[in-house]
Amino acid sequence: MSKPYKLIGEDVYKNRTEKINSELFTLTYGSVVAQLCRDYNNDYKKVNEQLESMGYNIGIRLIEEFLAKTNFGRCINFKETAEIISKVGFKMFLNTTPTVDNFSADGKQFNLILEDNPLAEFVELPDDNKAVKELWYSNVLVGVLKGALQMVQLDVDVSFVKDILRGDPSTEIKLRLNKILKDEIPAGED
Amino acid sequence: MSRILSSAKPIQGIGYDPLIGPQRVEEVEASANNSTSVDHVTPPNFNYDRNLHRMKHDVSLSSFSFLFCELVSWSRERANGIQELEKRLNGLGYTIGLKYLELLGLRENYITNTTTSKNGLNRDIKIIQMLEFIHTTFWKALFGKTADNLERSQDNVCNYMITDNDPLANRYISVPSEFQNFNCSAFVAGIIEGMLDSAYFQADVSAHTVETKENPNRTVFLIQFDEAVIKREQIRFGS
Amino acid sequence: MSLYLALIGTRDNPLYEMEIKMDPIRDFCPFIVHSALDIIEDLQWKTNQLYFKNIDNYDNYSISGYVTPGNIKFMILYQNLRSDEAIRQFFGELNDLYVKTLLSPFYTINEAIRSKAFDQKVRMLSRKYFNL
Repeated sequence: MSKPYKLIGEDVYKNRTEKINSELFTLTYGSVVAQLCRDYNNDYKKVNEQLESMGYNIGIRLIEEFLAKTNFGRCINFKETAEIISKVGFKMFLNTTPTVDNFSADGKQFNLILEDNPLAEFVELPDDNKAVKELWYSNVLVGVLKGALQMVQLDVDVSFVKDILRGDPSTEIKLRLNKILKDEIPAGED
Repeated sequence: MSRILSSAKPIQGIGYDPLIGPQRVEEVEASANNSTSVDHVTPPNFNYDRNLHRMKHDVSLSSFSFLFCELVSWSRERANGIQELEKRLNGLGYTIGLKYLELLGLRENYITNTTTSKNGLNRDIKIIQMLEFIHTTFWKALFGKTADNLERSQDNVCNYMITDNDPLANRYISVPSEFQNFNCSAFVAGIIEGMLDSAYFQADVSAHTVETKENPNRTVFLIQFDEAVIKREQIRFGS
Repeated sequence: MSLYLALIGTRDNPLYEMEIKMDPIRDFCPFIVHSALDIIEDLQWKTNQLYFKNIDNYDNYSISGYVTPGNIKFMILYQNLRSDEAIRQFFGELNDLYVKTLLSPFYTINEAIRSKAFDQKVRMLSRKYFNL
């Protein structure tokens, strides 16, 4: 049974979301990344970490809004989680729907392929032969996903594997479920 | 002979170097054929093929709010005190303003060229034109509505004020009481300052909260133009 | 037919230069264009327009200019180019390329545009509009 997640996502975005011009969003994020690179003197590994940490702080709050607007209950399995993230979560917040790909046989790992990344529009990485090998420009997404999933008791390892800004053919994020956290109070119930 | 060369081979670029200056077509083709160090990876750039004028693309306001909140939080960690925090936000907005002015100018130009027959006239040379541009076009592009008020200060001829009754940036942020004089719209003030500076209307822009009963978040952006700008205006346009 | 194109920043610094077949006066081009900057900086406060044609000349070369809303100047020193209209459209597309460069967060204003892609695109434009 597959619920019409795509329709739910589109409906929430169209009717229950206030929208803003994506350019302000893109430019603001760009300004943050550029400032971080300056602050850390182009130590891109540190920049990646800081972006992930900022994303984490966003994720733990973002999940509340997500649950409030969608009223979803527990997911049956990780596959359903994947569907909801890509068709509802991303749609609701970034107005884009990544594709779920490479679902592993044990059902614990998948990749998200982003065709359209509003964070990275019109970005060209610096030509210092370092950024293109070390910087994951949109690393804030990694933190957001990790933080949000942690709040629903899923301990997931999230990381970028490909980025078109680096010259790869696509932008891909890998999500791997480590374990389901023991919870005292199940999410969604009192 | 170079014309034959250019039509036979695809156009190459090796990139401009200000220390060397312009390169001849033959030199460009010659060095493009010598590979640079094998290890040096140049990041790709497909942006030039993309269309700047495509259909409006938007994201949810909450995404921006979350990002902005985190930005304020991060700036607060690195700043010592309110003044420095405002300066940081202003600085982050400033770089955006520099770019946004050019983008908006290009867009307006494009719209004028494709919808009317007149040639794109799109530089503002008078203070009042620039302020109108900010008050209407810029505010609309960013926030979906025009700003609520634009006025000139009675006391100081260099000062102008733009008012927004419900600034988007402040909507989801609650300022703790220790930060009484602080307004997150310092960020937007920075954007405005960047735009004015790059258009050669140097100014200092700051955001102040002036609440009213109906609008607790009402923010006034105070624009203080440099004396030189006011003087130039008087000389050129006699106001 | 020959041309020299310069993109000049707000501190009179060159952001980008390109030169095609300007051999006899190749080394003088930056100086000629630089002296025309004064003229354009004066003219720009007299009108809202972006494109300024034929603001100066040197021997039988002409100089035309274009000022963006952010006060970046595109100057072209040329001889026997097709038409003013072609130059105007060339500048329009160049403005488009410039804004795209500017939008990248890692590019700051008044920085030289070293990108190979940009260079390639500008050369393609000059072939498109001037057959050079």
